[in-house]
Parts: sequence; C-alpha cells; structure tokens
Amino acid sequence: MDAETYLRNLAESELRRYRGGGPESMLDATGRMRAVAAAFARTGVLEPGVADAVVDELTTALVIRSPGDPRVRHFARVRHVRQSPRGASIPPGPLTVSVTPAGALLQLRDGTTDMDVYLFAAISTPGLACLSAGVLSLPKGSLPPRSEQRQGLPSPSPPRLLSGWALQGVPGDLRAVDETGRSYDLVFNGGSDGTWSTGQFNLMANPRRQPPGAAQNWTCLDVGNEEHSVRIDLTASSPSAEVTATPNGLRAGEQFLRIRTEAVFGSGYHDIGTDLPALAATVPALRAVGLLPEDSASARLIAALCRRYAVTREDVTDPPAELPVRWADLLTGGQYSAGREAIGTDPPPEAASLSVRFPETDGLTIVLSGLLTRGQRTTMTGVFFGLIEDGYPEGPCIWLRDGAGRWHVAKIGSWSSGGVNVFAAEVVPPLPPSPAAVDILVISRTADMRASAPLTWWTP
Amino acid sequence: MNWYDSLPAADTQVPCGSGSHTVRWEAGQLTLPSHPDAEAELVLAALGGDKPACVAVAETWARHTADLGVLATGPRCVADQVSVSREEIEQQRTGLAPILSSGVSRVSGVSVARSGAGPRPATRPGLGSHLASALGSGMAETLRRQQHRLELLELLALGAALQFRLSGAVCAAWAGPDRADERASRRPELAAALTGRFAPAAEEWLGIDPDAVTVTPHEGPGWGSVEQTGQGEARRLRATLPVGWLADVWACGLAVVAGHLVVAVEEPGHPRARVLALPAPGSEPVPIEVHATASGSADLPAWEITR
Repeated sequence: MDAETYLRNLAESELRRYRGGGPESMLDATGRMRAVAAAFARTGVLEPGVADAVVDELTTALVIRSPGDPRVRHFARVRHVRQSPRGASIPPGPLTVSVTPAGALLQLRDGTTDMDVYLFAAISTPGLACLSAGVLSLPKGSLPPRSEQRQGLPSPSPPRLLSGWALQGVPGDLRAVDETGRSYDLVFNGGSDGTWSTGQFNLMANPRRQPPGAAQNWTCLDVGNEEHSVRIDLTASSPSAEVTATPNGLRAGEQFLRIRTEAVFGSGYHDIGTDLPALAATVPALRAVGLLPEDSASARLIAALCRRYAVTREDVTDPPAELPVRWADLLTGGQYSAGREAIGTDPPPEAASLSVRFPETDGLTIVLSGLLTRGQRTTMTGVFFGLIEDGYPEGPCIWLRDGAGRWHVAKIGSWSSGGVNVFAAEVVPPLPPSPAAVDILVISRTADMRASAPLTWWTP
Repeated sequence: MNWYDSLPAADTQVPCGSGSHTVRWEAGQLTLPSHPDAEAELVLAALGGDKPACVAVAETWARHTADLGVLATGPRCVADQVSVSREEIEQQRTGLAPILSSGVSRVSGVSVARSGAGPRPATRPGLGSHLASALGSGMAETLRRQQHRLELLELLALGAALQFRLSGAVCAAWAGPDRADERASRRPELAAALTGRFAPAAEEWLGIDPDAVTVTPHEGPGWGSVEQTGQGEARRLRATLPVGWLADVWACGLAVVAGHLVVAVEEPGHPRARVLALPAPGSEPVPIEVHATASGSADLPAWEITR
C-alpha cells in the first residue's frame, strides 16, 4: 500500500473511533496520526507537506464533530508534523571548533543575591566564542565563600554594549579580558528557573575590533565584574576520551523506529506510557509500506514496553523482547523523577570537567563539556553543532553508565545561538557524587557512539 | 440521467441582511429564492455595495463543488453528525488577516454548482496573486489553508442535508470518464473517501468491523467487486468501486436498502429508482426497484424495495 493511502485510511479509522469523544481521545487520535505522518515523512515515502495536509484535515474533521467544546479547539491548534530544525546558520564545510575545559568558579557576593558562576568550558568556532556555564543564585548570605577571591576587573572602557539587561538569577555585568588585554562583554543565553541557570555566556568583543575566531588562540581569560574575578587557564590539557562510532546498518524504517523509541526516554518528563500508543501505531504503518521487516527488533521492544505499561492496541502484535539493560535501569530507577531540588543541608554543588567530542553523525556534532551535581540533581552540559529538531524526536539520545554499572539518561534542553546549540541535560536518575569516570553511549539515527570519559572534579 | 435525480430538494436558512433567507438545493444546483437577480447584486457589490450573505454562500459553494477537502471533512454516514456554528466561523474569521477575511475573491456563477476541479491544491480561494507574491510563500500557504478551511466550515454550517448534497457534487465532479488521469493522481484521497463511506454501509449490511473494510477506486467497465475473506477477527471485506458510487448511491442514501448493498444505480429517480444490489458478499448483483417512503436524516430519502 502506498503511504498516503495508508495515512488517509488511518484518518478514516481514527474518525470512526472518535465518535464525539473529548479532548483526550482527540489528542490520542491526532497523536497517532502525527506519529505515522512523521514516520512516513522522515523515511522519505511521503512528502512532508502532504503528511501535514492529511493531519490537518483530520484535525478539522475531529473539531467539527465536537460542537461547542472549546477544549477540543484548544488542543487542535498544534497541527503540523514538520519540525523546525534549529541551528541552521552553520556555514558549509568542515566545522572548526575548539572546546577547552575551563573548570572555574566565580563567586559573586556583592549584589542583592549570592551567585556562584560555574564555568565549564570555553567554546569557540570561527563565528562564536562562549563559555558554557551554570549559575546558582540564592538569597543574600546563603552561599558561603568556598575559595579565595581575586580582585575585580578594571572598569570597562568603553562601557558595556548591552548594559542593564540580564536574565533573573544571572549576573548581567560580567566581562572577560584575554591575555592581550582585549575586553569582552559576556551575554548569557540559556534557561533559568530563577535559582539555577544553565547555558552559555557569549563573548562579544568590546570594542568590536576582532572576529570571534581569535578566541581559538587564547591561553587564559580573566572573567568577572568590578568586584570579583577568576582566571581561566586555557592551556591545561584534559585527558581525552577515546570515542568509537558504529554505524547501525539498519534500514530506514528500523532506524526511524529505533531512534524514536530511544527518544521517548531522553525527552520530556512525562510518563513514557503516554507516548506508546502513538509509537505503536507507527509499527504497522511502516510495515504496510514495506519499510519494516516482520522480525523488527524495535517493534519487539515497543511491544515489550506496551506490555509493561499495559498499553493494549490491536497493532501491537510482535512478541515482546527483553528490554535493554539501560531501559530497565531507568524504568526501575525512576524515569521522570529527577532528583529533588537542593536544600540547605546539602553539600555545595560539585562540578567536573567532562571533555568528549563525538564525530559528526547525521549532520550533528556533539561535544560534552561538564557535569555538575547539586543536591540530588545532576546536570550535564555540552554543545550541539548542526541542525537539531525541537523536542529531539530523533535524538541524539545520550546515556551515561556510572562506575556501578547503572545507566542514566540525559534529558536535554538546549538554546541556539550563532549556529551553536548549547545544552544542559538533566541526568536521570541523578549520578552518585564524584564518580571517577563515566561510560557514554550516544544513539543517533544511523550510528551508536561510545566513549569512556574520566571526570575531573575541580570545585574547591 | 444525473446522480442527483434520486434526491429531493433541500432548504436551509442563512442569515442575510437583517433577516434570514432560504438557500435551496434542487436538481444539483444551489438557488437563492430571495435573490432572483444575484448577478446584478454581484455587480452592485463590485461597485462598492454590500454583497448579500446568500450570494457569498453561493459563490463559496461554486468554488468547492470539486474540492476533495469536502470529502475529508464532511459526513461519512447519516449517523456521523458534523456540526459547525456560525459563531465559530465568525471567531475563526476574526483570526484571519483582514484582507482575506473581507473577501478579495471574485468568482462568478452564483446559481450554478457544477464541477470545476483543478490540480492540487484543489482551490486557491480568496488569495489574489499580488497578495501571494507580496507574502512569503510559507505565510501565503498558511493563509491559503486557513481561508480554505474557513470556506469549508461555512459550507458545512449549511446543515446535514446540504453537506450530503455538496459531497455528492464533489464526487460526481471527479467521476467523469474524462477525468481518469486526474483520478489517478488523487487516488489516495479518493480511496479514503470511498473507504470512509463504504465501511459504515458495510457494517450496516454485514455487521462487519468497519476497520476490516478497504475500498480501492474501480476504473473501467462494470460496477466493481466486493469480496469477503476470513472469519472471526480475521474477517475482511475488500471492495473496488467507482468514484461515481459515492455520488449515485451513497450521497442519495441508497447504500444499503432492505439488507441489500447497492453497488450501482441503473435508473436514478425520486421517489422511484432502479438499482443493482448485492444480497450477500460473493453473490451477483440483482436489479431491484426501490422507492422513497419519506425523508429521513439529512433530508435523504428512506428507501424500500418495491419489487
């Protein structure tokens, strides 16, 4: 059967099942349709525009069978299966990127709140220089000093380019001065919950007299404000991790199903059981258009997940397979319960350099830069170079294995700037404090990449 | 012989001016009894006068009589109730760009509802080329889809009787022997339109799960085929039917008559018609005469076998 006919017949089936149901069943119906439409569009058997149009028509058909229910109209607003890739401004050709562990803590105690700025790594490309960072902001007096402070940087001249703008919980007056005396304004790009912020400080030359690419020659940076500063040694070498990349050799349908299933674990904090009906609907769809073999390993794993979550659907017909150890670890260790927030009696955050660069796969290069534990939460920082889709429906999926052999997944959030997506990932379940090394597994659509990386804990 | 000969006339009311006017479907055409000279009213509207709502409805109808979007959103059977309120339409209209919601289209042919299908996309209503070029293609496409959806909703708001009659017009527009190539290029949409409407009829006929029913468009001589395989949960019904079945049979409420599946209409008519019907899967179709006893849901005739 051709893909468009399958999708349209599925729409007819969903419409019959709907029969004036509430918004939940509308979400179920459109969720299954979007999943199948995405499967066809991403495996190249259906034009994305046609897939969108079919989903769009079904959504309209469902809405007009729910008269007077404003909730249904609300749920109908998000219609499209096409994702918007981010980071599209990457120049063509090989990307020259430098990632150097920074490992510095800047303690700011002079404002209305206490702030600790954890500087993980200096990242530079021909178009961008930045410092990946995490910022802890607490009420005045909450953060005791942890080390001796260097004096502040001289008054900026000329004044800061973007003065007066700052995200809550992030210092807005930071600068950096390199070894030649050149000055840079630090502008934060990332996410914040008001207490803990993660992202990157972009270095903007002030005055603008040099391209960011000059950053690749830095040997040290002084970072701070007029009261406090910290020196970052950018000549220190860090132990490099050996990376292996293994193409998975799968056909397009199997690749799609595998990465979508992995992504269920690595995205969001909702019960993965809610994702399974839509995922299960893609199995017969891909088979119907000849993209999935009868003995599909991914289909059997989806069947196993459906059995575990008591998802009963007529399209789950494959015999369940044994779950991979990493999935089982996550499912038994708490898949969506990230560790609790830090409380006053917790030890101060600990940060480690984690320096791993994975080779480009599926147009995406991943660089890991740091790890931070705070209370019972673990955050991993890093950078994506290349196109990446909102919600990471096709990965990358990053798994960590601690010294005790337990697996943890990285739930990623990222922010795009200058063709670079700096990310901070919640490691779930949180890593035990101070491991000496982690094994890393990155699953992308076409390949698996593995590394064993030493962790250098640098916080005082 | 026309597909609509088996259908009685149907009226609906449309708010127009300060009152409410009758819009009538009769013999395949939409007519406006309260606007006997609609063409003149269009000329006045072009000169700056107000366009009566009835006239605007008829224009919209004319633009969609070959629009497969009607089949994607419209009713599949009489139990499948599609309900669109005018308040909802107004709400959506206010969300459109002002130039689109005020109606920049100029389409003539008010009282005629005949076929006029074009290549995909089936219609490009309300978006002048100057505007389309001024907007980015992505924005223009989004606006075109919104306007298209809004027009469909306006037509579906005319009520169940006219929903079935518009669906019949669309199917008839695609059923002609001169459109085989176009049908081939839109085969997935036509297959789904057939399956979505035949499956409930098959359920009524055999009690089969509609999800076990698939239909593919039939081309060439003959009425097509209906084949049942398997038993229990493995029971399947596969049919091939011409697109014209939707207009001649389904849109006229003739799909199942007294336990027979009607596969073709030999002589359309109302209140009497002659059809070919299957008493059971695998049997040969038999000619039967049917007569309409009364108007049922959607102003579709309720048919009984005469002999």
